Amino acid sequence: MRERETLEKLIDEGTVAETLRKDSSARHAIAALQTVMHWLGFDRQLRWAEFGADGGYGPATVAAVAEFARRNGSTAKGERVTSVLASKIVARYDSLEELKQLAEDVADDRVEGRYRVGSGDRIRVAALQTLLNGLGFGAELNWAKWGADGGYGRSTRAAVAAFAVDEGLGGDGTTLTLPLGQRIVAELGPFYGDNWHDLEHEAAPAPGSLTVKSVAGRGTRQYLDVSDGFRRKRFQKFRRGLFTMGDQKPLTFVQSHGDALREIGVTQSELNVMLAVAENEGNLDAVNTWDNAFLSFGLFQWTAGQDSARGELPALLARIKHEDRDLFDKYCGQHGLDVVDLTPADWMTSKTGPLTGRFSLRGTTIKSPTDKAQLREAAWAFYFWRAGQDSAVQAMEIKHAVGRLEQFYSSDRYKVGDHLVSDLITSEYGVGLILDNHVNRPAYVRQCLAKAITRAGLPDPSGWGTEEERKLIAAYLDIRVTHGRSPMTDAEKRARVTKKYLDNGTISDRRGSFERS
Amino acid sequence: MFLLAAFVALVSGCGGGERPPEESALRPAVRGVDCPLGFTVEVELEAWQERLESSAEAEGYRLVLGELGFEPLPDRTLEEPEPEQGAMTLVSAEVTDLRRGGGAAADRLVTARFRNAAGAESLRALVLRPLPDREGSYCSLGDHLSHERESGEEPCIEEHPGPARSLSVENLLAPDRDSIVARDAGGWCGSGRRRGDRFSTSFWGVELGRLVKYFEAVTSEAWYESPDPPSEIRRGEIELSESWPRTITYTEVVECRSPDEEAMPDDGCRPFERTETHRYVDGRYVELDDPRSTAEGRGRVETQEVPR
Repeated sequence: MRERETLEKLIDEGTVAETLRKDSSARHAIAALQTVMHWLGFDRQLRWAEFGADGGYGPATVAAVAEFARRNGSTAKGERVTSVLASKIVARYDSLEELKQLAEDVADDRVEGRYRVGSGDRIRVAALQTLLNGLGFGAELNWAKWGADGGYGRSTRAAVAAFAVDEGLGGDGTTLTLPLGQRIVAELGPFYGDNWHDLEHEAAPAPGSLTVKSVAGRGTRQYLDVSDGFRRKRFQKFRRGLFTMGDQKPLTFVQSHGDALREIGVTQSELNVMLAVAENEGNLDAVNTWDNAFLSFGLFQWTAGQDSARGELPALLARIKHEDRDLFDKYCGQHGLDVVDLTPADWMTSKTGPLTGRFSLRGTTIKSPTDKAQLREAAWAFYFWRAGQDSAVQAMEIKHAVGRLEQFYSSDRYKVGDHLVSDLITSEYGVGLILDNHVNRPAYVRQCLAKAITRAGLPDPSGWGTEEERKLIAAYLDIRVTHGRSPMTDAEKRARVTKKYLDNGTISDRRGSFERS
Repeated sequence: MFLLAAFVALVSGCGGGERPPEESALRPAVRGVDCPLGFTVEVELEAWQERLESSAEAEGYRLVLGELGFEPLPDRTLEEPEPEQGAMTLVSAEVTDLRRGGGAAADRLVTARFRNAAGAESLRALVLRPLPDREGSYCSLGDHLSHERESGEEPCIEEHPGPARSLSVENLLAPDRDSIVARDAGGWCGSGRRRGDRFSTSFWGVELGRLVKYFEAVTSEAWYESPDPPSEIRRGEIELSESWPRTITYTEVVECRSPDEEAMPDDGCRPFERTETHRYVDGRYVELDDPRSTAEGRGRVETQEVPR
């Protein structure tokens, strides 16, 4: 825990007293103290729910430190932390998990089978040794020689027996009986705050940091609960990472935020197209960190890029950074995540906007697969999921999705024979279909359209009307089902979804009906 | 630097029809009596290889590849945001001997592997058979082993740092006769929800002067809608018998994963396992269930439903 390390560093430097005191401006160090005190159970004195780890050494922190001092035999008033007191805080923190472990076993009546001579549960036995040493039985444990080695042998037996004598209980120390376990918990518990032993108590983490907890599901399912103290999210584990389907439906968002989307430059016609394709796409807060794309997010499941390649997700973030810096910093910048190596190089002035790029983390470009593996960490799944909950980010996702058309719709670099795609496909229905195709198999749109022109026998679009475009689209839909080495899977099903929105009047197949921003 | 220019001659044909010029202006376009089904080329392969390795741009590759009748590389510069990301560069060029058995001179498997910065790959591969008593003259038996994999068509589940198609040699028909094994790794791992893996293996060999595919099977395949993991995983195992020519036994297993493991899969996935057996008969592999199989009788094809 980095907060503990912060305190230890102050102790080592001899700067505790001048740093951890009332009205000190050392907010980072004070926040570390507050977080550790929170873990030790002093939420009530800290008024944790109200202030969290705010880095201000005010009356609440004074009260928490004073209470810790009182419970640990000091008369300190809490207005500052001495080096001795800080060392005691760290020591209590260091044996907290061991105490919680024993308390849990006591509560479950699982002491005698686990803490006994010959026990193979070295972790638990080591925890017991740590606690007994804290209670003053280091000599019996031969602590200087063995420390907490996890072996329940002669020394541990002697220490347990000595503790039993002190408590007026019998036993030769070969087994830690339930009453002995209860006594250890009862002896040590008072050194901590009120909340430490509340095993059901879900400790709220310090703002800015995350708590991550493994949860077993049905069958072989495993989950991770991640919380930042304000929001909690359960992700399912799979292979090397996590995923969540999310619950922010793009269709619902587009339907309910039309005005906001138009305000950021999305036309009604583009909105219609998005309505038609959204059902085929992912939720706005969907996250995947388990597959070879490392990190995928949102509506189009933009990725960090497989292997060492650039990805499309950095491009989405570049758009957000460019258009709303505060929004970017809220979800990325504050965590050290940035975007670099964007393409095209002139994306700021290019019609296409950013298309691909790389992440950088705390100033270091993430390029190799090894570096990208960092993006599988639960924190990134959580931060992106949180971003996907924000309507401002959702709007950017829609805008970026629409912006994808710039890559191929009227680009000289994406001609079908001599024609721009926008010469061939001009209806909302057609644009919806090829946008969906381009997201999933970008190289195939041009190839499928070229084949469709030939099959439909319509080489020159200059005189086309609605009927000709319908004929082209019919040929294209037939071709894309089987085109390519990895054909657009479920092409027919996806086309039916888009067609549904044509049938209900959301989009039009009239030639020229698509209007761009 | 090696400057000896390889000479590729268009050997006058005897009985073979010329390829239509629109197929490839660079292709050696003449068939001869020694090469009735292929195309005759004269080339010093080592020099060809060095010339390819010293080429740096698309036009250079096109010219050198054309000398052996290879199709030019597709222009992928238009597919990428930055044209240079789409430019293909040579990764390796190799010439491998393929033993033909019976003391015949080895065929030559010629491969050239290309890749671009976006991950697209092109493999150019063909088999050349040396023409008797004409050093440096070969009959090209076919470039059907050539392979393309576009950017994004990488496997997305299994980690596979290897190439899109790897070629190796296996003794399928006789201990001194090499067949070619092509192992393909594909799928989709770009943006968009639909992703997956597809690994397959195929066996190839030369029969009656022509490169043929004996057998092909999927060894692993799974598709899914990101972020949801696949609900159906297809695995295939290929076993070769010890005796010559080897019999191929292929076992296919479909495993289903349900969103809720206590419930049945909800998307039509049904687990099953089946086995099929293929035997070499008259220059090709046929499934033993196939009535064209040998007079020894119908073979065994096992198809078994596996209860959940």
